[in-house]
Amino acid sequence: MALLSLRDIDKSYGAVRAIQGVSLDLHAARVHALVGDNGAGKSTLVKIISGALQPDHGEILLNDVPVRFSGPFDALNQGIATVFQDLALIPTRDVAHNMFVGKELRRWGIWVDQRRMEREASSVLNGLRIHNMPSVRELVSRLSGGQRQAVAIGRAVHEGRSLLVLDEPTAALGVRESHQVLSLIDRLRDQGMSVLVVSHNLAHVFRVSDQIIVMHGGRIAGIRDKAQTDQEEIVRLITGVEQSLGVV
Amino acid sequence: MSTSGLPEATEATAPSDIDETKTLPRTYGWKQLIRPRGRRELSMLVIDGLFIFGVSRFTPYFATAENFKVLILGMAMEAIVLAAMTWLLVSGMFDLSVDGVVNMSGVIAGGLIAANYDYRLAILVAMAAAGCVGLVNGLAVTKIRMDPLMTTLGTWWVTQGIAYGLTKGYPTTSYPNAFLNIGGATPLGVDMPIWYMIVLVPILGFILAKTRFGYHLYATGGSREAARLHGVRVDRVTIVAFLVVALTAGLTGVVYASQLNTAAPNVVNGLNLRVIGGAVIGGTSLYGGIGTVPGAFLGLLFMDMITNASTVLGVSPYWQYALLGGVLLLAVAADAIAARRVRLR
Repeated sequence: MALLSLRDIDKSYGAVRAIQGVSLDLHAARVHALVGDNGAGKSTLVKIISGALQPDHGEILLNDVPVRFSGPFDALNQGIATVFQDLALIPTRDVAHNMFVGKELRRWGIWVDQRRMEREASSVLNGLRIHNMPSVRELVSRLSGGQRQAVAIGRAVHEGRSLLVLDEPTAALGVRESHQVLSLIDRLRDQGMSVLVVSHNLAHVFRVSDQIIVMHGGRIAGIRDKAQTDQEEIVRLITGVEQSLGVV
Repeated sequence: MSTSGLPEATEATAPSDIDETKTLPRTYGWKQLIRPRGRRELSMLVIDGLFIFGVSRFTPYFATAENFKVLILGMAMEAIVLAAMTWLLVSGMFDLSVDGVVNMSGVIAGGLIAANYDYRLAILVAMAAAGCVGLVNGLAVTKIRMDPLMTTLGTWWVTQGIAYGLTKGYPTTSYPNAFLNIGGATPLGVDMPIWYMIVLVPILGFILAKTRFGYHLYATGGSREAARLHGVRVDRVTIVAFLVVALTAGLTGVVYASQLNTAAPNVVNGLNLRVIGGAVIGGTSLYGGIGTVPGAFLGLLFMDMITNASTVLGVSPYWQYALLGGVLLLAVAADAIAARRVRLR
């Protein structure tokens, strides 16, 4: 059974058809990569899954039940967390508060239990084996790009629980920090999460994903298991060569 | 896996996760434990202490119990407005209209009492009028997305105009004793404004520092979009902060009218800048997301001590504006430089 299914999704911006007839299944304990050239419809698809956009047509099924997301917060409450490229962290607050923004833990319903937030943030980060963080009391503005990414992912895991959508998680990172994020994604899969990673970096895609979803011109150009494909085929799908040859 | 022309392929597929073998620390933060929180408050306390020490070398009349009683009494209502303003600054906004609101609410309360209405009703109406201004400020800034500088400048002029218009420039005076006690009574030998300060400033400080609402003020000021995305009702948080600032200003107007036994349309002048300046000196950021009530309080104390000390030292009051303005500019400069380091910009 698929965790999240899209059935025949269309989305247009005015006269521009951003995506058409998109159907796909995302499964638990699998890493799905979403690739495609600029303008292929990746961002629109991610926004629909994350609840930031509503499709014009088509159906979204969460555990086989049709759902509608009124916004990212609604999707989050239904178990789908998205880490957008800007990470949506609060630079002036510490790591612990950032992990609990909007749902701060309280004691006796009156004051915020900062200690417990620090303990739980620390155990979430430890559980994901993120151990390059100086402290959960450190301000996010003092963290490196990779550490910020880790906080955002940690929070998303903590909030989202079932499906994690990562929009270009390694785009702004150096080699070493990219590795750390990729092995973090491995661990999320091992913990049974479903992950959808948008990436331009095919090397990273092949390193981390189980299944590769290729978009071209607003449509699904192909869905391949990693074991049954190679980078050349994926590149052909991205550039649309196979479609014009009529192979797909 | 196939070979390809992509240069990242070899390095990305290499099993080089460096941290994988490291043992996990059981807890985070031992470094942070020795780093004291509230460094800004501590340094402000030191600055205030040095100032007191320094000035008392020049004059024996500054560091006296009598002088500080006067100083604190003059500061008491300002400190309440300051605490509320700290909320608002932390949420990333500010409010210039407090002068007008103080004057307007004092004039309304005084005018109604002078017209023989019950003083409790008069206070209620004055506070309600102040609250309305806060709501207008908050709604304009959040729902219509009006610029907070121009909006609160506008409501400042409107409320100041109402204060002048209602009195036609003439203050009302001679109120019943029941009303005079609100600002003038001295239970246990302590003036009422100081009691208000002792009760309200810690409450406002506690709400900011320890409650979920306070955390939401910080989140809203730190990154409005990120806070909204995670379910913080940023508009509501902002409106409440504007409302509380206006209510504290309304209370101040009522207390001043009672304390002075007169309600003039120009009782306060420059309170807004003194309060915002005090907060910024005390470490509150004009860019939002940073600041505490204790820090702001110590900053305001510093500003008021400068005024007080220059009076004691015989500096002309005309020059005090220039002095305070200079201190304010220095604090704003420090804030801008700190913001460049702290923010993701």
